[in-house]
Formats: sequence, structure tokens, C-alpha cells
Amino acid sequence: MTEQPNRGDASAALRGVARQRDLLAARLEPPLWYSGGQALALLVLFVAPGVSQWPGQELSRSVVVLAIVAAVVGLSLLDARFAQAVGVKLGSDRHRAYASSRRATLRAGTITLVAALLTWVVALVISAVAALILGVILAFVVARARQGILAAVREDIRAGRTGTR
Amino acid sequence: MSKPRLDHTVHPPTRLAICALLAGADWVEFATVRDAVGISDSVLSKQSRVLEEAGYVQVRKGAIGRRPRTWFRLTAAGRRAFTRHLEALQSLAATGRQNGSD
Repeated sequence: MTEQPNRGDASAALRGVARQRDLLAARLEPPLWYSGGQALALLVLFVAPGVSQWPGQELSRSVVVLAIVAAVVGLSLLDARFAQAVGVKLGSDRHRAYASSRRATLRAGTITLVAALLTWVVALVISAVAALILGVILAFVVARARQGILAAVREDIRAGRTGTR
Repeated sequence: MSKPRLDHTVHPPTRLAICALLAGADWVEFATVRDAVGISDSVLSKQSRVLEEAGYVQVRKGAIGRRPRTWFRLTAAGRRAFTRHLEALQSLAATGRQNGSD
């Protein structure tokens, strides 16, 4: 039978819980290979419109679609590999479990959508060079926004704001 | 409202640390739990079995290539028990603080 803890025991136990939360959050810091891989996949996604419209080198629609699909699949594979590497799975219902990640996900989704639309409009209406430059810039903007989702999850874990599943 | 009560299955420091870690994620791998809590394989196996028998932890065994891997997750009952236990600890710590400041 466990003895009834006193105030000191309770405080020490709570400090131990906070320490585990910090360790878990620190484990979810994206490693260099993950950030690099993500940046590369996003570069392919956002540079594709400019490359596809390059004067005299226009790519066929199927090649562009294939590159975009490969980048999207690559992003999913990176997420799966990250979960295996750190030994932590956040679950498919993470937006319910980590309330703060909802806003970050919405923000990243909106930025991705606007960025994709913008690069295609610039590539088709203005110029391939402008679309290429814009694509590189927007790839990094989207990468930062996506990193914000994981940062929000880490904040929720540290604060113990992890909802029921 | 009923007073939050300590859960004696969750309370021992090692099991509390395991639950605290699992509460932050969906599934956590054996080696990650072992390293974070700072215990040996055998201690983790023993403590996780106690939590599993209480219905607080679900265990899933799988493999990546030829390497076997074990994953843990807190069940709904485990999450409830951990939350109630935390509330009891917070209440105990707060009561102590109040008494100390009187």
C-alpha cells in the first residue's frame, strides 16, 4: 500500500511530471535531415510552376504533376520517418489533442494554398523567372509555417494541454 | 464536487513518469520511454505490465525491418486516472502552500 504523500512529495511528483513533458517536447524538435527534406520537397512544389513555364523548355503536364505528387508523398514519408526516428507518434487526431496546433495548421494550410496559387499565377501570367524566384521564397515561408505546427504541439505538451483521445 | 483522489497504480515515481510521458503523445516507443524515464529494459517491462493489467496502458508490438519495436499508449481509462491523480497532487501541493502561508 502506498503511503499518503505530503506536500513535498506532491510538489516533487509534479516537478517530475513537468520534466517528462519537457523531455517529450524536446524530443519533437525537428532534426536537420527532417527540416532539410521538408525544405527540398517544398522547393520542388513551389519551383515546379516556374520550371514548367521556362521559355523553350516547357515541361509536359504529366511531368509537372508527377513532380508535385512526388513532393507531397515525400512530405508524408518524412513525417512517418520522423515519428519512427524519435519514437513518438502524435496520432491522426492531433488537432483535437493539441488545441494550439489547430490555429497553426489553419495558418500553414492557408499560406500553402495562397503560395501555390500565387506561383502558378505568376508563372502563367507574368514570367517563369519571377515564378521561380517567388517559388524559392515561398517554399521557405511555407516551411516556416509548417514548423509552427510542431512548435505549437511542443508548447501544448510542455504546458500539459493535451486533450483526451 | 468530489475531492480528487490519488491513484495508487499511477503514484509510484516510475509509473507516474511513464504516464506523464505517454499522456503527451498518442504512441511512444519502448526505447524512448526507457531513455526519458531513465530506467532499464526490465524495469520498464515490469512497470508497463502493471499499468497494462490495470487497463491504463495499451501495448502494441511491431517491427521495422527485422528490428522488433514495442509501442505504448495511455488508454482512455489511463488518461482519466492520470488526470485525476495530477489534480490530487496539485490539490495536495496547494493545500500545503496555503497552510504554509497561514
